Amino acid sequence: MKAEPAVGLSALHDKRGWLALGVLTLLSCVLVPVLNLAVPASSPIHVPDYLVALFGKFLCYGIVALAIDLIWGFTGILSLGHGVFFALGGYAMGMYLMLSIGAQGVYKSALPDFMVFLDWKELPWFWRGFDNLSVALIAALLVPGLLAFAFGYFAFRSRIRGVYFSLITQALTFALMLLFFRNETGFGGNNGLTDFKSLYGYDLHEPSTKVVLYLLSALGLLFTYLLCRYIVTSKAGRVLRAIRDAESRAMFVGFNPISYKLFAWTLSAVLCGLAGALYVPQVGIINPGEMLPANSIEMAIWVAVGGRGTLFGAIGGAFLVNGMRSFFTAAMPNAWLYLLGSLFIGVTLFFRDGVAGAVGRIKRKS
Amino acid sequence: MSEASAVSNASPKPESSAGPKSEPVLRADQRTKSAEKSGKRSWSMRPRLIDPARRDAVVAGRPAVLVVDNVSVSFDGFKAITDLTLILERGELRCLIGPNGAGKTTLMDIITGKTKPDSGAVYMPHDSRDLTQLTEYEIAALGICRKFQRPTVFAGHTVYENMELALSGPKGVWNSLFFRLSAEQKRSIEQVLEQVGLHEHAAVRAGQLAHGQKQWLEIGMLLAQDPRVLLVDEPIAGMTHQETERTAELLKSLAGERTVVVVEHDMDFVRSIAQRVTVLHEGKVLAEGDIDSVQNNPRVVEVYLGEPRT
Repeated sequence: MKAEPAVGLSALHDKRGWLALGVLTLLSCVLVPVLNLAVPASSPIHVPDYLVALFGKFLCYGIVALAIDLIWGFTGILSLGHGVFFALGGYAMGMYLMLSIGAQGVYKSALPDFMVFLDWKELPWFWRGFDNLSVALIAALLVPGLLAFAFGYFAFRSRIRGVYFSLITQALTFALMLLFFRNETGFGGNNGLTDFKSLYGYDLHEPSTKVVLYLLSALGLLFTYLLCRYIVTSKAGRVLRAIRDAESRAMFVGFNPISYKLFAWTLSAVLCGLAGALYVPQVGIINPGEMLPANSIEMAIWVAVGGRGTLFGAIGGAFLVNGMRSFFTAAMPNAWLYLLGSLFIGVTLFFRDGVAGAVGRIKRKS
Repeated sequence: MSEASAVSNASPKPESSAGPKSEPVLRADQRTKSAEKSGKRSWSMRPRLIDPARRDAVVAGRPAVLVVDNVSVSFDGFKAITDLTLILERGELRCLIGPNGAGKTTLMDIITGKTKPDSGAVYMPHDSRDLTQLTEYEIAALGICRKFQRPTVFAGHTVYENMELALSGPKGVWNSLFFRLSAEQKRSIEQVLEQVGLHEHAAVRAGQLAHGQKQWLEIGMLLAQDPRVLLVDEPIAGMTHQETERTAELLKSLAGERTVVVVEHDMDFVRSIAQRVTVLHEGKVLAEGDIDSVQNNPRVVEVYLGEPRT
């Protein structure tokens, strides 16, 4: 029996795992674009544009699910406010897209339409620099990260845990939602930011632009997965699990739980910001509705359904729940919320380790 | 006067001359200096550094490794520990005994930073910091390690991973992210696993170990931290006779190199391992000395042991 932890690439996955990951990456990065762009629309295997956009959205949700799995599944901290980090990333990207509309808006002004509507004469100071894509991207990662760091620092230092922590994350997202709903805050009030035209000069309505955004999302998900996988298989990941399982013991072994929690928590928020920034150009709108407490709860449900502490399961859960949502909100719109609720109850009662856990158990039995 | 009470009277001498409570532990000029230095945790108004003169007076030339100096703590008016002074010497195996509520576990809590005392200080002779002002992990990093009453290992991790986590060395996030076991560290893990008899179970999840094995794993984890002082709380609770014997062997083999403090109720076990015994009663040291003198001390017999066996 080999007990020493593996190192290098073999620590992340064994050969079969790498193979599976490679096949999945190839399928999503090559097959979908080819079937969309190269296959004529009349063909039965053609992937229509709306599906590319839908898959692109799912990939972003996958990143969010990984971020939540890192902090919930591996560190044992349930956040019911990750929607706020996702939305902040989205807003940063939205601000860039808003400014790149230029004078093509309804009011033919260099200012975003909603500012003209509010009779503002010039860009507020916190919008400056957002006409630069790299500034917007850095802000999309930095703003959620800084908010999470400040919030987490005080919460973890005060040793707030468990359900109390989850509740104040709900309060956090709710408070920011109320703030963003106000016109005076300067982010377009309840309409949010929308009517985007182009990203870095490329028309957002072109199918090829959509495919590129889809590909970027896929690469973002792959990167996030490998990063999370690296962390959870490193010693830091073992420390996170140790803190999750027996925090006081971890402390007496010499680890400072606050810094470890803060690391996982902040990174998780940054990843959500990345997901939001990739998401907004694909859906064409960001508004305070993204910060609804219910949205954040649903994000946690994805991970619960897929299986906590498995990474792959979390992505699967995000795809599964959102796939079902797309199907059922079209097929029987009234039933969807009941279905989502019963899904969550069913998983917590019968599959506490989610789909991934159930699959694992079946595998071990056979 | 029996020998035991003579010993217990000898050690706390300095405090009677030093006056009430912990105030003289620190000189006034040091207090302001330390308060300026301490950027973090500014809410703590208690002194952070130990007066060397006071320290030397308490240690009095003994080869001390850890000093609990005149410590008191009360919980909601209940005095758990009152003016308790305890000096641990290098390499000794000390047993702490006493009836329930005598303050044994509270004392452990104070030394390891879990409980902050109302007054008094805890320090090591070559370090001017007051341990009661440090956090749990800072104290652990100084080489003062503790085994809890109930075995608390990381149940979801393998035995080997438990050892890896316990290993001494930098414990920061950045370090852990890029950490790789060196050949030397692997050797020392294997050596400790050998010592506690778990080398064949290295790849087993700690949660699946038998009760006694968990206790040994926890002791092994303490050893991997390369501690100077090992605090062991009721190590043989729930152990079979055989496991108890092995544990006694293990603890005896550890003393000498390290200082081992064992809290235990089982007098047979105490007799089989102890070099020195400290009896606590109502938060105070009732007697201190070798096992025979303690057992024959009339006060100890009265409050704790009952009639000595013949």
